[in-house]
Amino acid sequence: MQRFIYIIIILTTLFSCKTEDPEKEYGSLHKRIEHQSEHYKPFHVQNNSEIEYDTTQVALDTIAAHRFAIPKRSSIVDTYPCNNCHVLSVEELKKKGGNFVTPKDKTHDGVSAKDCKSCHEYLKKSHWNVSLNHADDKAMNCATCHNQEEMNNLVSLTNKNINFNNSYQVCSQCHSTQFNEWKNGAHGKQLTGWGEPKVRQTCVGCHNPHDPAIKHRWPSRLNTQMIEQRDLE
Amino acid sequence: MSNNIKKWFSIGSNRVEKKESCDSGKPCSCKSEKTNDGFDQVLNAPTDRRSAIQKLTAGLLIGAGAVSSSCSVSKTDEAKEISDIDWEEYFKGNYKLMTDTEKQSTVDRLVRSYELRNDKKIDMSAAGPIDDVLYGYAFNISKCQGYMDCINACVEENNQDRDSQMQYIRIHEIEKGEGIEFKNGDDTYYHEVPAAKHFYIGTQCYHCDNPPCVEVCPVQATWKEKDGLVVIDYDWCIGCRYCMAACPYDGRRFNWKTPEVPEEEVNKNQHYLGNRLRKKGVMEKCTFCIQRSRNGKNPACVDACPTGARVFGNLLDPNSDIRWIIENKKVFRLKEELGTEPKFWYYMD
Repeated sequence: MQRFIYIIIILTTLFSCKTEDPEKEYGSLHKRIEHQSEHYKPFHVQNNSEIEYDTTQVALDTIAAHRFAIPKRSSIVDTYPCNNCHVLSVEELKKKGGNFVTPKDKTHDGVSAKDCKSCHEYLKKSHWNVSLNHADDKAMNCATCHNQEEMNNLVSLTNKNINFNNSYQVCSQCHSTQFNEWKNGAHGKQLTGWGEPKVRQTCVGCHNPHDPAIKHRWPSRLNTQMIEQRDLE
Repeated sequence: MSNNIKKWFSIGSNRVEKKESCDSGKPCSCKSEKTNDGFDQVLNAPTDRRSAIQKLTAGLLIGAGAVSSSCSVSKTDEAKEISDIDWEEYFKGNYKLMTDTEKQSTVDRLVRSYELRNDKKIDMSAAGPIDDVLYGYAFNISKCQGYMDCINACVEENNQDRDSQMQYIRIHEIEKGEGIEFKNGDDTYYHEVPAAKHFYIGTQCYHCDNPPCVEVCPVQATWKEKDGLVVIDYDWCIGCRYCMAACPYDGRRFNWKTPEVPEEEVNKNQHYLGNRLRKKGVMEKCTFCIQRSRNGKNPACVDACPTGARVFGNLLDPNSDIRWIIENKKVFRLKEELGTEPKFWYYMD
């Protein structure tokens, strides 16, 4: 008889350990996430956004989390390619007495006076609205980022060419903390959605490279007014 | 098992004997046991005489209206179809217990009903959770500048009432050095932002993993889906606002009046559990834009944020942005000591 009771006790202990709710096994959300993500399969999103992005330059380095696409820049900049106007390097232009081509240069062959506005808005010089408000003039001038020899390119600190589409490589030379957070996803913005392929906004997508600080402005709407909600009805 | 298992509450009857959790394993509608639905749920419910008479009277009133219009010779076919749809909708069951075909047919009815009434087509989805997905959200309090573009996007995306203060998201302006103390925060600011010596923090529904609002719902009109979204069946909600009281985060909103959305501003891309048009007297709240997130897109607030303070992602994806943030940044959640396990983390640069 006693043996029978022992067996019953052992059996009840064994079966009572089994919880019905599988989530309760984990004890905490973090443990559940850790366990359930072991056999994760990526979810692919249909790309229905209008953003043009480049999948070929996806891999920043070998870490899987850093594999993402970035939007193309050169198709957004309307004066690109730069050598439409800047046929000569800055050095050669300076010899002629200015940073820019003059009306008598060969770039202006066949251009009539009516077409001025296509390059010179309101007959001002090109880039008249660009003023550099980025660090101070000890650290930065135009030539810190723009290649003065081959005008279609940006330039690194060691004088290597950087494509306009890879402008993050210019920024990351100084802003290494932000770059590290950006490539991991804590800084910046996802563009197409949360699934694969990942597309991330570049530095210049949000920050004007000539004036990078995010500006003060008015909120786009009034905030809630709790008292009014209670007075309704 | 017999068919008499009750999975709903009805006036006068005893409480539910067996609770079925919807987010464990496969969606509960796929369970092999036969679940009662529609007419069965209403008609097979054991009830006492008083509530039976109450129900009969209510049913009679609606039924009489529907019958009179559907059998009337003078009424147009459209009017008859509308009353047919209303009849079916009145007697439909809890969305949580429906099979996939039943879900689709109620969605079809709602689309048709909107078309008959407003002469416009809407696109409503009954998409279920995606496998291997658990949604999570991160909010960078160093980045948020209080521009409130997120709220505008949210109101438009989710067809919220334009007249009342329905916004799911609240942005609080708190003085630096005060700590995150919401009673010291200014929720009604309107000045150039960011104001000196202040920071901004947004709150909304946190889609807790252990949601207190779900526990208290007397009719099980709100529940947690398999992908972690806490959702509401607006047609099953009785508007008792228990969930509003139970939420420790001010995440839920109540429709005190019929929501007003101008016809041309209605977002036609809808989900049954998400941004479809609500009626007076039901609860609603942020659903992480279920109509977008289950399509692989980010919620509207994430897309609208001009500072990149909002990050959305799949917690089960080890390479996702949100996982990196949780594992590498200094993160915290609000009122963590309550054990609600919100899936909404705050972090700083």
